[in-house]
Amino acid sequence: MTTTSPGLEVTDLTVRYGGHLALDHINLEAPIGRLTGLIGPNGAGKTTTFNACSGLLRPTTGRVVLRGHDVTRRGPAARARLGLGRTFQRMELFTSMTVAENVALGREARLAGSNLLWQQISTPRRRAATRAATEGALELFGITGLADQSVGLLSTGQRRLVELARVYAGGFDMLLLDEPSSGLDHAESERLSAILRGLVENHDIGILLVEHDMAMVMSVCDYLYVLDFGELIFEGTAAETQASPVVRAAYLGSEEGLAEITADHEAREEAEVS
Amino acid sequence: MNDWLPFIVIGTVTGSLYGLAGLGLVLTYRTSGVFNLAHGALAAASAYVFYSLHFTMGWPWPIAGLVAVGVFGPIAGLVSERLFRSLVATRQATITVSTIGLLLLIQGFLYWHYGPLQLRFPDFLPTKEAFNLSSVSVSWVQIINVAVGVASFVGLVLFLKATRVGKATTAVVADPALLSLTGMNPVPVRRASWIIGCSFAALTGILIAPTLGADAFLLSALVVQAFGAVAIGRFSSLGMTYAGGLVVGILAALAQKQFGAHPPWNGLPSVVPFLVLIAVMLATPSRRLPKGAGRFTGAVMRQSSLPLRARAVLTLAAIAGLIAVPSLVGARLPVYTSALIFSILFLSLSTLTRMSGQISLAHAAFAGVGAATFGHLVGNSGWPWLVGLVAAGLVTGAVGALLALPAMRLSGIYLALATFGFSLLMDNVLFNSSLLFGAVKGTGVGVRGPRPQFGPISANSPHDFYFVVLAVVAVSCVMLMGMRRAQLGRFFRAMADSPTALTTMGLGVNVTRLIAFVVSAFFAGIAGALYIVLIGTATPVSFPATNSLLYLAVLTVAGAMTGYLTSAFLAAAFLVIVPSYISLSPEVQSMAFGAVAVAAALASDGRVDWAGLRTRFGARLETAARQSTALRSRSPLGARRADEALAARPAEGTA
Repeated sequence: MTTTSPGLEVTDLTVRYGGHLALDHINLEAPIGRLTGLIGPNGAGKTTTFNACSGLLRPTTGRVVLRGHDVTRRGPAARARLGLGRTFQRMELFTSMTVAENVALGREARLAGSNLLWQQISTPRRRAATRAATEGALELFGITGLADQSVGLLSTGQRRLVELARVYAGGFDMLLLDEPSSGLDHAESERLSAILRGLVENHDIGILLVEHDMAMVMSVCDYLYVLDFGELIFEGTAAETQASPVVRAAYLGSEEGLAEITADHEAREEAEVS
Repeated sequence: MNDWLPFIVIGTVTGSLYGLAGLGLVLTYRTSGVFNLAHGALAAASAYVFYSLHFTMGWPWPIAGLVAVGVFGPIAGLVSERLFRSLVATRQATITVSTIGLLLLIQGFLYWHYGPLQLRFPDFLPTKEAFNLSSVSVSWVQIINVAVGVASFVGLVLFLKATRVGKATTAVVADPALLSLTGMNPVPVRRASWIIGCSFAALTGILIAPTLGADAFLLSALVVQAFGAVAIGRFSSLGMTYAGGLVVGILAALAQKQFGAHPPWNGLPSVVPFLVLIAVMLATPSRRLPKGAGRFTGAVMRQSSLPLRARAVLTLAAIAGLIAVPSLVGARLPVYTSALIFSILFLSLSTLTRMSGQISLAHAAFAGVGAATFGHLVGNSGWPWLVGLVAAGLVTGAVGALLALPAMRLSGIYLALATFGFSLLMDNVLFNSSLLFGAVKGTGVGVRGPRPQFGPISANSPHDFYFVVLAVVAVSCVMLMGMRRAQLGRFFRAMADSPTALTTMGLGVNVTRLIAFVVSAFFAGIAGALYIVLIGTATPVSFPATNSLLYLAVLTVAGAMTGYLTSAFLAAAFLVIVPSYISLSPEVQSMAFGAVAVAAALASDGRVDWAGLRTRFGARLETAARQSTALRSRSPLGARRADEALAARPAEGTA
């Protein structure tokens, strides 16, 4: 376990769409230096939580505090400039541009911000910083070879990696990752897990992870929150989550479901050991 | 009070008709997501059908009216429904352009067939006084007009309440997403609403024609009046739309009384609906406005597939060709000069619409502002020519910044309407003021644009002026291409692709939108300044608002084929050079551009936009298919295979 510092703190978050209660007084914490998982069945409110945290959605009640700053009333761009980066389940890439341009924009956009001047001109120092960040990110996610490809022509898995590289190049220290492994094959998921662990342990980055791949969640997350129908039904370590009867009953619906996941997880660990 | 009462009566009568037109517009917008800018043109067409049957062929008016409303209206509805159904998944801008195309097509046909002059359209309903309202005489025709409006509104409400299709329509109007949940086939609902909507347009057309005269332009502009009504109904409420029509009608009549005799404000009544529209849209949070059909994002920029060296050779050949033009075309040279000027205007429009994913129906107004600034500074105050040119760009850029304000809150059709409203305001009101083109004491109407003069050197001849313009074009191209490749251009292109992603990475996209509008307006102002030099003197009618529609349609046609730079030159050639050789009348030209714009919009469905569509909808399908091959496809070889697979997909899609 690495040392942690305050990252994202969400208090009493409620989101209401008309009569539908999408999130019901949620509290969660995702500190820097920890990989925090947010799981739950489809429609549980995971992406809604992300949208409320990143400022794309105005919550009905609640407070979002980012690295000690109350950002509840700030827009998405302001939150990003305070270090909050995110990816999207449905991938929001710049499809008419190349991989390298996409990744570079992660850094450039953050450097330029809302400044009228910095949006129009760039200094050699900024350009150098962008270039270095782009190259580093492409290399970390193993897509240097795709740098000049147009994003519109990539496979889903490759696009996931581009989106991750882009948010990494931005230098954000609090990352919200929405199903980063969907579209990746088994080997790629493994590699991604290792990269994410590395970010948290060596780079002073906090991650809040939404993921459907239970094996991956259980193996990489330090701490888990479980959502069901907009309610936080459980929080604890991976082992505690797997042992919890509440999660068993409400989230997985059936005993067999959890048994399957546990077995899968154990099988994985065995495979790693051998 | 007695001074105002006659105007309130007149306003109520016309307002009821505006409300009727607005009802049709809301109905089709809410059920199909297509905001039909050709709604007024359909009304005009119906009025002309009636004109031919009743006045030319002598049919009795009830039968002529029945044919216009009961036959022409539904047919127009069926055709429109079929036409726009295939566009639902394309970009919003494409849908907007296709309705503009339809507008130009119908308007051009009417001009061509009936002549550009206004035809007398006598009252066919009894004009005898029905009663006297505190000494204001109210005629039967006025009562009938209001009665028809009210009856249509009540009839529509009853239809929606009592019939199955009507109930489904109500559900769709309330929440389009609901329809997909009920499992009901959307086509009958949309068809019914298009038939009703177009019949309402037809009815409005024949009722309002006696007031406006048979004039394709005025009648097409009826849609503008309906905009105000629709805005008050917040693009969804039928009751508020009809009431909104009355409000707009009465406000316009009152404005007529107040300002009718005070130029330049005498143009104000005709823009009342737009002032209402802009006020409502700026006061309404954008999430309260219903979303139209189509996608907001997804760029249409195409990357040249030619290798770098081939492109360099082609560019050099094009430059050589442009330099050789004066020695090849003889007396036609001003046509080519004009085309070069328009290529700057199209570059400006393209920067905004294609590169940055915004929409503008205000480019004619931008050009007008640039022309007026140049005329005042250089023609009247004697500023140096080049300084005046740059100043024209800067002043227009500042006006562009003003227009960026609605762009920060609105997108898609709402932004299109707001910018068009600005264009109409300039055209009808401000261009007439002495600040722009209006009469100044002693000089008469219009401003002068003198030929270039650089210190002692003057470039007076058409030949010299051509090269001056060519130089300005070259500088503009270099600047814009440089910008496109630099950081700012990346921000513009990224904004067109996914503004959401861009803001979650920390960029203030409202600032980016502001810059895009300023850059675009700057170059439009330059084009306007050069244009006034070309034509010598510009008047308030030199930059009509409707030209903005034409520009966007032509650029879309050219842009369906080529990239950023080339499309601007191609569009200018279509607009200026081609007509000068095949001597088409302006009406036929307008028809041709309209038809081609509709065709280009239809053709772009599934071809130009395929990559964008695939990203949105295909991603999930692919996920499963690719999971097994993802690792292999990361190698360059695999990536190439992925390219080939994708290149094959459009064929599957269109088959």
